[in-house]
Parts: sequence; C-alpha cells; structure tokens
Amino acid sequence: MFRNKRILALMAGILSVTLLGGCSLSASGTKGGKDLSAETENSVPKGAANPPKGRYMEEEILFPEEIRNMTQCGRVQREDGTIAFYFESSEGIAVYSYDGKEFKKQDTPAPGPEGIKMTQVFIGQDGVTYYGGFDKEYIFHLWSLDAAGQAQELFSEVFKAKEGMDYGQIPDYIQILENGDLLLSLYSGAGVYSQDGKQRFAIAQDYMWGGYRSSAFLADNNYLTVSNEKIVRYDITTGQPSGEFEIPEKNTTDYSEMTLFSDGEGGIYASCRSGLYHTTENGTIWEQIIDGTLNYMSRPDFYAYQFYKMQDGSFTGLYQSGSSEQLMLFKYTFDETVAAVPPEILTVYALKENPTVRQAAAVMQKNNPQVRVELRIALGEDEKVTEDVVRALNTELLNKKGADVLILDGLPAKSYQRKGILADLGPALQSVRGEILPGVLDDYESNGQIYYLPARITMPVVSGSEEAKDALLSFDKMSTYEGTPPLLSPSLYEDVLRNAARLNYSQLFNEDGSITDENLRRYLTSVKAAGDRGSVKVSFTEEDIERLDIVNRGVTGRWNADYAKNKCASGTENLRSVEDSMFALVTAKQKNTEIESANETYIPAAMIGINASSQNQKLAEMFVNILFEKDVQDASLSDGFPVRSTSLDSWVDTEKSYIVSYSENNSDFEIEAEWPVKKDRELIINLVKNLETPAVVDETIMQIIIDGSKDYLSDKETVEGAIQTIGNKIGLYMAEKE
Amino acid sequence: METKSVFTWQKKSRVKRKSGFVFLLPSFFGVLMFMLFPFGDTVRRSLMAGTEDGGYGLSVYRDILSNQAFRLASVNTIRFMAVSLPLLLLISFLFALLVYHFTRKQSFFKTVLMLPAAIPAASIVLLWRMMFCEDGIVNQLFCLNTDWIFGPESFFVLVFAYVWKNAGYQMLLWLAALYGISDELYESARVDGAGSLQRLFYITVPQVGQAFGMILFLAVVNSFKAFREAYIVSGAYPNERIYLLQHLFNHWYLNLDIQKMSAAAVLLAVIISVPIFLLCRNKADGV
Repeated sequence: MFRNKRILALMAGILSVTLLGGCSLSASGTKGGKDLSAETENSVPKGAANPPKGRYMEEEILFPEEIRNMTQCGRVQREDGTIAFYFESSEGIAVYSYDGKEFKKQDTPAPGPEGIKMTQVFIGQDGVTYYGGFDKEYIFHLWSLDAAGQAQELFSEVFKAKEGMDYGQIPDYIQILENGDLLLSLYSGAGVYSQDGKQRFAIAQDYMWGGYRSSAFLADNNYLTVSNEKIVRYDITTGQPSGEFEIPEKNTTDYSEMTLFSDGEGGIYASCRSGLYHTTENGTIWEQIIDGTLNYMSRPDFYAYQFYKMQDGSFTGLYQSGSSEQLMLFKYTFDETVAAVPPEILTVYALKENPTVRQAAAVMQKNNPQVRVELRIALGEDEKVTEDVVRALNTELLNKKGADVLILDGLPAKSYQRKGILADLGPALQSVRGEILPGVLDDYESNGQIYYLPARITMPVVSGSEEAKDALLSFDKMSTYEGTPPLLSPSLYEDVLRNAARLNYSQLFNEDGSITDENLRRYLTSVKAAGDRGSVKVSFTEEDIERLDIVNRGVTGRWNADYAKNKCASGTENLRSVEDSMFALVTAKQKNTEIESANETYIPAAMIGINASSQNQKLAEMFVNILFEKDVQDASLSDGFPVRSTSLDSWVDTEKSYIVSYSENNSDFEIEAEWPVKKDRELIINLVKNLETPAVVDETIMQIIIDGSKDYLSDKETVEGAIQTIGNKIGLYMAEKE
Repeated sequence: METKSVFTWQKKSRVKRKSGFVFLLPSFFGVLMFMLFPFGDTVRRSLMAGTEDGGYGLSVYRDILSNQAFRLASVNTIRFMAVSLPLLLLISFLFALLVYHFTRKQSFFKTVLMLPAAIPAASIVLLWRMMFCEDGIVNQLFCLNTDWIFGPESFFVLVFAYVWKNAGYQMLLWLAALYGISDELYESARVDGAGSLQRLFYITVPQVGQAFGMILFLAVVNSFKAFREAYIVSGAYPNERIYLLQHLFNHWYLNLDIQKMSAAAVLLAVIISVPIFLLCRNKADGV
C-alpha cells in the first residue's frame, strides 16, 4: 500500500516536470530549440547539413535589338521545339526562331490577303502553318499559303459578320484538326466546324474576355479548356467531355490568367502566378515544378501570355508588362546547385493583399535567390478588418515575434511607433531618400527619423464649376450652395460623410485626429444641407433605388458618372493611377472644367514599417529599399501613385493604347475614354507632386460620427443631440489614448 | 515499546504530509505557470514607464487613475456589479428554493432555468436586438419609444441580460448548498414548532452561508463576461453608462497600451482581492 503511494507520488512528480518541460520556452523565444516565428511549411532549418538542392531559376531572354521595339503579331512552337516569333516590320513580317539558346532570323513568309493585319499564327494538326488576322471592318480572316506562296482564305463563312452585327466572330483560340475541320474558341464558348462552314457541335467553356485564351490547347483528339471553373478535357471527335481536373491552387488562382499547355504525353502543364504545375493524363494531383512566388511569375505587373516546354527540358514563358505593354521572354532552367528552398526567410505582414508589396517581393526574390519572401495576408479582399485580427497581431508583436516587415495600412502605426515596435527606416531609405516626394517625406520624418512611410499615395480630386468645387472644399460654401443641379447626387449619407471628411481633412480634424464641437456642427449641418438638396439619405428602399436611378453605390467612377449625367454639379474621385483619371479627364473636358486636388491632401497607402524585434533587420531594410526603387515604383498597379518623383515622370512618358468605357443597364448613358495625352498626364502628375497633407481619417472616429449622426440626418434628432452623442464617444475614445 | 509506537506514528505522518505535497505538485505548477508567472509579468509591465527601453516607476498608475476613460469604466463596472450581483444572488436563491421544494418535475425546471446559459452569445444578441431595437417587441408591446440598445436604458438591458443568463447556473450552486443541509435539522426544527419562514431564516440561510463566498466569487467572475453581450449588441463605444472596464482593456490592447492595461489589471485584482480576503478571514474566524 505504502509502496503504491510512493509510485503514485513519483508519477505525479514526473507529470509535473513533463508539464513544465512542455511549456518551457527558452529565452530566445524558441521551443525545443526551434524558432517558431520563422517556422514555415517549406522552411529549411538553418545550418542543416545537406539541404535539398535544385530548382528552376529564371533568366530574362532579350529579343534581338532590331526587333525589340516591333509589334509581335504571332508565335508558334514548331515540332522541333523551337518557337517562331512573328513581328510587324516595315518590310512585311519578320520571323525569328528561338531554340532555347539563341534567336535566328528566318525567311519572311509570303504576304497574306491584302488589307489584313496579321494577329495569329499556328500549325494545324495536318502540319500546315495557318495565319489569321483582322481587316479594317474587324472581320477575322484565316488563311494558309499554297505551294506557290499564294494566300488561300479558309472558313470565311464562319468568320463573317452576322446580320445586324458590324463585326464577325472574334476567335480567342483556333486550330485546324487533322481532318481539316476547324476548332474555334470564342469568348463565350467553343465549337467544331466542318469544312463547309457548318458547326458540328458546340463545346461549353467559361466566359473569358480579352481576345486571347491562354487556358486552352488541343493535343491529339483532346481539347482542354476551362469550364465551370475546372479544367475539362473534351474529345474533339464527339464534343463530349472525357475528363476533368481541378485548377491548381484553386483558391488563389485567377484562371483567366492561367496558361495551359501539353506535355506531349497526355499530361497537362498549367502556369499561373503561383508557379508552374504538372499533372499526368488522368492525374488527380498537381506537382509544382516552378515556385512562382520566388520569381517574376508572381509580379503583379506581368501577365503571362504563353508557356512552352523546350527540348532541353527548360521552360520559356512569354509575358507582357502592364506598364510598358512590351512582350518579354523568360527562360526557366533547372539549376542543381541552388537550394531547393531558399534558406533565408523574410516575413511580411499585411492586413490585405497589396500589389505593390507583392511586386517588391517578386523583385527581391529574383535578385536574391537565397531569400524567400513570405507574405502573410490576414484578410481576404472582401473581409472587414476586425479587432480579432489586430489583437492576434498585437499578441505576436508583444512577444517580440511577428513578421519582419509590417504593412501598416489599417493598423495603429502611430501607436506602434510610440511603443517602440517599429525600427527607424533611415538606413533602408538612404539610397532613395532624395527621390521621394518632399511633400510626403516631410510628413513622416521627425527628428531625422522615419518609422513608417507610404510606398503609394492616392489623390482625392474634385471637378465641376468653380462654385461647385469651392462648395465641396469648404463647409460654409457647401451649406449655402443652391445651384442646379444640386451639389450632390442621390447617394448614402455614409458615403457623403466619408467623402467630405476626406476632402476637407485639414479643416475638420485637429492634429491628434479629434474634432471640435464647432467643426462637427459645421460638418454635419453642411453635409445635411447639401444632402437634402441632392436627395441623399441614410438608407434607401428598393423603390428609392429605382426611382432615383441609384446604381453602383460606392464603386469608383460612380460620382463621376452622376456628374457626367448632370445629376449633380460636382464630381469627386480618389485617383490611384493615370488609368483611374481617364473618366475624370473626359468628363471635365466635356464640361469645360478642370480637375483639381482636394486642398493638396493625399491618402497614404502601402505604409511600410520594420518590426524592431525582427532578427532579419538587414533583409527587412533591403525589402523596404526595393519598395522605393524603380522596379517597384515605376509599375502602375492601380493601388496608388508612386512616391518616387522619377517614377512619376516615367508615368508621364508612358504611352499606351488603352481605352475604357462605362455604360449602365437600362440607360443610354455611355462614356468612353482613351489613354490621356501627354499634357493631361502631366496635369495629373503635377497635381500628385504638389500634394502635402496626409488625410488618414481615424476609422473609429468616422464610425462614431456615422452612427451618431444617423438620427440627425434622418430628421429624428437635433444637431445638438447628435453633437453631444458623437462628442461624448469621441471624448471617451481620445481619453483612452491619453 | 510505547515510545517506538509514537515515533513510528510521527514518521508515517511526515511521510503522508510529504506525499500530499507531491500530489499537489501538478496543480501547483499549473497555477504557477498559468496564473502566478503571468500575473508577475503583468505587475512588471505595469511598472514600466512607457516604452520598452524606459525605466520602472509608478507613473502609469498615476496616469490611469487620472484617466477619464478609466474612471468612467471603473464607476460603470462597480455600478453594474453593485446592481446586478445582489439581484442575481437573490433571484437565483429564490429559484433554488422553489426547485428544492417542488420535487415533482424538478429536472424539467432545472433544465429550463439553465437554458440561457447554454445559448451562444451571438444568438442571445439576435434575441436582444429583436426585443430591444427601436421597433422591437418591448417598445411595441408597451407603446414606448425608448432606445434600449444605445440609450442610457441600455444599462438595465445589460443587467437583465446578465441576470437572465446566469440565474440558472447560480441556482445550481445554491441547490448544491441546499442539498448539503441535513434533513434532521429541519425535522427537529419542525418538532420544536418552527414555521417555514423560521426554518428559512434560522436553518437554511445560515447553512447555505457556508457556500456564499464561492457562489459570490463565481458570480463576480461571470459578471465580467457580460461585456461580451454588451460589445456585440452596442459595439466598441456603447452608451457611456455601459462602457465597462473590459471595453477599455480591449481598446488598450488594440492600441498596444500594455503598460496601462497591466496597471489597470493589477488595480482590479487588488480591488477584487480585498473583499474576498475579508470574506475568507471572516469565515476562518467563524463569523
């Protein structure tokens, strides 16, 4: 009995020690000798004796000098594995072949039918080279060359404009089958046509706009395409599906950007931003061949056109740059000497996906193959920032863990700075400091130190008559504006309040972000006065929405559209790029007015800071530096203007053939805008260069104002009542910070 | 011979005591690891004078004691406890007495009274909104135009919600105490001619008083959970009458004001410990 008790007591002791052992953390914040903060699925332990080696490395292949600036009009991979590129030259079509090592000039093919601009080349299953292109009426023509080099037009019945249409079928993928039939893929579906031009059967596939379907190919009797968000294999002799595959990395892959190509043995290669994948003929899993996050495949300003497997086992990817619209070639060769997974890891935390940050990650990894940049995105695109997310991050930061680099959009940056969470960015910005817009840099520099800095800025602009613009930028004038049409179009008070706060940030808020009762009164009464005249409401019924023609609430361009439709006297937008300004510029020209910035205020974006507790300070500094370097700042990613002045200049010089149009259902209203001329681009960029006041409206204060003013704005309460409610809550909020 | 026997008894007693301590070790280490060490760290952080590289001092305590938000939250929390705790203890005790005396369908009543505690907070919030929103059941039923959720009346809704949710659980604790009273006491009181009220005040109340300390302690702990409902219904900045300490702690944590939060937590622990300590001492003294 006594012995049993002893044994039990011993076991209790062991249990206690085990419990303590399991909970123990060494002083360096490691568990069992392993660094938790750096632990990732693919990470290789530092100092591992024989880390696995070998991965595909990326190398840019420059087109020969003489064709670099020519427009490409087709490309085709031949049976010997070489790729033939077709360029428009002054002497006709120039052809260069690339075998994975070098370019060779080829014989110029005989010209096609007169007046047709060539856009496609492909080799049919019968081994014949076919060409395609559009005439001036935007009708597609398909032809091949006979033995004498004469163009023979084919399937003209299929492509001609149908009755009542002023353009014909626009193929996004096209092939000639072994029996001479035509496989034609259009944006809404595909079909096989017999030689007399009659459709034999239709093939279902997902809608895809853009004129070029990279996610489709024909191999033997199989046509592979995307249908119902799956890769489906159709038997081209019957039109029936014969197999289907999940899209690799389905949750993150935008399949309109995915390219598919055959492995020649029945299997499929699929490339997307996350990498290149392969599956066998009836495979169910995808093997990742190339990790796209480690190279330019994940660059947001690059769009993959096509991928090819070369005969030496390497891969070649053809990309288009969104900034310059130029085509670029990258070669991926397996290198046995480099580590399979980069041994150094830099973690970057952001609440939301950010293209500029992703661009910097791609550039950094490309230039530093030993580094893996791991982006930790806390929320999906449509998810709201919740306190739980910030709390989880704070717990990490409090324990001196967390990501090495923090993207502070939506986070309490000032508080982090005060608590010593952020490190000085000075060393990281040393080489780029002189390039950053002084109006922006000065706002974030104190005592020679910078703890956080935006890599992008957006610019609120107003347009309309001088009187209307003044009314938008001054509460006193807003409340007395009585012009026709009214200053504001029917919309939600929440949007109007947010917009007015953004436009009048400096006259509304104190330096600490609080608001005086007097300013609050002017703000609320002015917004209500203008809102009442413009049928602005706290909420709308379905009937209201139809009667007042309220569409696309909250969508960019909405106000401009109302302004363009003469429903209101002013237009406001938050511009993020030259592309964004196209509608605003066209509308302003139509109205014979000019757009201007809102009291030189800007909204910071991609705000970056370095975690002072990071063990990778040097890498973090390198990342910050890259974020402000040319490669990242020059790219137009629709998330804001660059803060580097030379990058802004490069945006002025960028020429594009880019047209956007806006139309509404059940309305004749339509607006079309072309890429702005240089003078207009200069106007926009000069406005950006003169911005000097950051407008970061505290979301808590904004929400208190929105909630507290609802009753006043819907005539259920006096303004004094609203001011008291809002004032009390804001007072409490500010007191918490004291 | 007698001497040897005493010696053996003393030795056995020492061994028993020692083995008792070994059995206590797991829970002792648990308390040490998960309660005392973190609390020690909280005290340390509360004494830090701002940023990590700053020195130590009591400045944070001075700051929070003069902080308007802290004062308001403290007053509100104390007011909430002062109103809701006696109410909860009284109502749950009455429920317990009813269930104890109605032996038929006892388990049914227990289940019904426990149901609110089993309903998830998110569902309760939906129920409150239906009942207390501007066009809610309460306003329509009594032809009122009261803002029960965002107005000053939200305090009463919070008290009601707390009592409603916790009355069942507290009732079970009271019931356990009631079942612990010997039937012989009641029987002899009856023989002596004591009526129901006399039995209640002279037997039941003094007897369950033994368990009162623990029941009160659990009620206090549960009162902090009322924040969850207040937060989900009225948001981060509710009417200032239901702005509780947990609202403030939550915001301080989001702002990484750890020093302030730690100091406030230490103060709170001291304030709560004093009555519990007094209660325990009184019990030890047999008062």
